[in-house]
Amino acid sequence: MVPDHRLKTPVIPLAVRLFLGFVFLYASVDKILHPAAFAETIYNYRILPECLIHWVAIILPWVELLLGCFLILRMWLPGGSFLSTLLLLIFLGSVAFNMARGLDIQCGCFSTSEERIHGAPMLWYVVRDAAFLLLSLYLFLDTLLGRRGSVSPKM
Amino acid sequence: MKNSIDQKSILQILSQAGMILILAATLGILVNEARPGKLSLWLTGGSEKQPVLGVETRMLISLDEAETRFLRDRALFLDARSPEIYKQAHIMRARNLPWEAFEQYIGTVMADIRRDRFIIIYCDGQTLSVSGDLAVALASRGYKNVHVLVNGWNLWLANELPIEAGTPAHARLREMDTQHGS
Repeated sequence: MVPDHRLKTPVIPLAVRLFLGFVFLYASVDKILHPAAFAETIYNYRILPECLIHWVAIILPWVELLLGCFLILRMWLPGGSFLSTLLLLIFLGSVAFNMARGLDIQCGCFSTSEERIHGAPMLWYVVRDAAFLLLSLYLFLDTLLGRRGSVSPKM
Repeated sequence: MKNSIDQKSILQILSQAGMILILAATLGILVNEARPGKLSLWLTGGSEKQPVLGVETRMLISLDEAETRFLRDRALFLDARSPEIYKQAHIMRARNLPWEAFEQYIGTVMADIRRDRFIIIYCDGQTLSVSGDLAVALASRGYKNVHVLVNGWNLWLANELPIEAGTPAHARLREMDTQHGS
């Protein structure tokens, strides 16, 4: 009997892709609705020069929204998973950098509200972002090695 | 099954990522331009309405209110600029708490100030974030009534409000304490 390969759905990459997609979608909503508050969050990181803060506050949430959509819809997966990995690497680096220099700030990853998870230390954000990064890296490498191509026309 | 990473794959990855960024930038800028209270993409100095990043809206104070509180002596004015600039001229009765030496000065400058005192911080328009940084730092130290007069020094001068030069009495006492090691 010839095995039906259509039944062998790659569950893990599918789950990772959908999970990351919805994480990005969720993360983008509050930032798109409250750009001024997000700009303040970026400012609190004390990393970017002031002239760039508003640019990032305006554009980054839409990068997250599009990444979320493309990951869920399995569009432009090579580029999307690469950008997702790069973005998460930058987020992780920013949080870790501030933790290393003793700045206790609100992450701003999912909400621009002043409140953050009660009692959550900066280390929690580092661990969480590191986990997201590993998932994204897995998805990127899985895509790169040609097992999961994009359904959209090749660019 | 393709297992190698070739030049075509790299090109595909970069072009797709680039397109996502361009699309996001376009959407972001268009939506920003269409919304009321949009973020300014080109920050410039010299106006009271300029946003002070890091400072909540409720911390900002208008020149009118600052002047009223000054005339009634209902606020402590803090000059966030450097001591050298402060000595040249500052708002009358203002104390100097330079952001550049915050940790060094806060103990003496704020020693006799209650946590609920109404405080107005100012600097000049060329150093946007200094007064904002000082306000945030004081708020984190428990001062609950901290406010920022954006571009305060320039506005105060332009409206010919009272200023003074030199080192006020309280600062001279501080200098003497420092010299005598107390």
